[in-house]
Amino acid sequence: MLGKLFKTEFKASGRLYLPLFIGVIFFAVVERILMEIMQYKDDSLVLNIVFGVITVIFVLIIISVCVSGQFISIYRFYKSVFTDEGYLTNTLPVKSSSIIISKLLVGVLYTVFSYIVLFVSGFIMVAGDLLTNALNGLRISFGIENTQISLMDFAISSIVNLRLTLTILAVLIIAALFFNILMFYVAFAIGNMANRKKVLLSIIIYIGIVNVLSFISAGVAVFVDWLTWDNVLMVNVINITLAIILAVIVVIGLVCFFVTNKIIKSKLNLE
Amino acid sequence: MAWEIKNDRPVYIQLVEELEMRILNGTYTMGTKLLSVRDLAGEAQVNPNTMQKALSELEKKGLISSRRTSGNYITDDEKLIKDLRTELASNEVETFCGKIKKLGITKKETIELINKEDF
Amino acid sequence: MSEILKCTGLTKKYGSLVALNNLDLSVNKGQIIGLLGPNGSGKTTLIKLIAGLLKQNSGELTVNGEKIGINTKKIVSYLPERTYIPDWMRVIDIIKMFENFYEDFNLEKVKTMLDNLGIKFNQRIKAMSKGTKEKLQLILVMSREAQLYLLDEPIAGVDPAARDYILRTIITNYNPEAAVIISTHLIQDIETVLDDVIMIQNGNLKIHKTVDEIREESGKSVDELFREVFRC
Repeated sequence: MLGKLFKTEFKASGRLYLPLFIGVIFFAVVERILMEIMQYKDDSLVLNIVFGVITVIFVLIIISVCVSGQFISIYRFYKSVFTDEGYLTNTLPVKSSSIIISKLLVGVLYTVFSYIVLFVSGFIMVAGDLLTNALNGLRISFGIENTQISLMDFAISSIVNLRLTLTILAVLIIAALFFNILMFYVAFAIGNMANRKKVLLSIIIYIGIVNVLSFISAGVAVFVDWLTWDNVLMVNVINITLAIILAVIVVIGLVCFFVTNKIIKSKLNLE
Repeated sequence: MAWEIKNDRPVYIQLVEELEMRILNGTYTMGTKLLSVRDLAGEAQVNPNTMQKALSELEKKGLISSRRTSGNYITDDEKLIKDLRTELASNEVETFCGKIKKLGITKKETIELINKEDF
Repeated sequence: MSEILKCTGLTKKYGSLVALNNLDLSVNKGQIIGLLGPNGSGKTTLIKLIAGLLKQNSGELTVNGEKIGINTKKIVSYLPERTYIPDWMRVIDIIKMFENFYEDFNLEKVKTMLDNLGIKFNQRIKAMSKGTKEKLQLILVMSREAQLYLLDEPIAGVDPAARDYILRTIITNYNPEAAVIISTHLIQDIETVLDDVIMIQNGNLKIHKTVDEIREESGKSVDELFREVFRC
């Protein structure tokens, strides 16, 4: 059933994401074409105005894609579980945990997609000549022609630890994607238990959770600082810190998940 | 054809009466197949179980016979229908005569009145 | 006759408000039951408990001998008083969803019933009137070969033609292996359709009898009795 839920949610969310994705790629292409034209003819007022307008739209779309990744996922969750649609969602013969997991996975997946789309649009903007020019400019401005080689040297020198660091970092980034969405889920689940102004309350709860978390992270920082780092390589310090952050995120994320599940299961308060 | 279910009496008794009337007056033709319980219930907007109960009652009286697989059939026993019709009619006449008698009208006057009626 | 629904000492509170108080109830297969009571009497709460949208505070509630959960949701077909079909869908989308999630969904049935009403598969939910949405929802719910149908106020606020359509749909989909519970405060319209009547007031069971028993004993329709019992 998880598979069916995932498929359903994937399609339902795709309906919202796809136009944004297409928009970004489309405007990136238009922007690039305009830039190419402007290289030869940059004195046309009309062209400049068109370029300006397109750029503004492009930037707005990019911002909305950046924000939408999580916003759409949270909106979908709230809409299908806690509004009238909840009468359908919550009477399906599936576990409430499957509902949460399917929506969460789809949310994370589309967030990743949106980053890929942003990356691709960036690539479209600077690919080809522009890319080479940009790299050359970079090299010249740093006064080094062999940037890559020196980077390689650094990498090889600490290859073992760096690999570990990158792995932890990658896991941490993925965990953070889940974690961010889960915090909203739990906020909306708690907000749903109130009888009035549920959405407003949910947002206040979310802000509350974020504040509590910043206290916790401050605590972690103090803890890391308190550990004595004699005879420990800098890379290891980074690894240990990242690992602690990862552990904290996973634990709090799981708590959010179980609380959300418990509320949907036995404290559902549909109007 | 409209089914009228009144408020004051059990539904199934009213269904028996209505069905009986329809069989006796020929609305439902002798020997033909009756609608299914579900369709009859849908038409009359009544509970299928209640309709079934009414049909069982008619079956007891011999007005319909149920064949296991193909549904309910109206009896083709002409004599039974005729007898029942006469029985119902004489019941009605009896009630009618009782009322007429109370009014102090004679049998002769009554027959004259009936002859004037157009039916 | 075998039992499809059983409540023993069922109690549900919202804070300090008691919505259902120690309710004992049993419903058999093959019955069409009217769940009657004034507004706020606990009808919807009872239905939501059976549908699995709420959890009781105490007492037992079983459908087909099982506690409320995935297994009961598989055999319970629930029509809420809300329209719950997502706006952006077309008719075909929600049909596919039902087909995907409910093993007992009968596609042929839904096709026939939609045909009768002239609803097209590619019609958008957003463009439908409230009445059409409600009918579509009823068709979806009745197209499942479920064992227990829960219809919460299916005839409130619909015109007489729609009401007749709804009642006919319920009757012609009657299945001796399934029970139907219809909650309503418009008794007169549906009383001839019912086997049993359950009246609740302030979360307490008042009456549980057959329609003909009530008529025989009191010489009154259920509607008249209802007005008497719940006189303000």
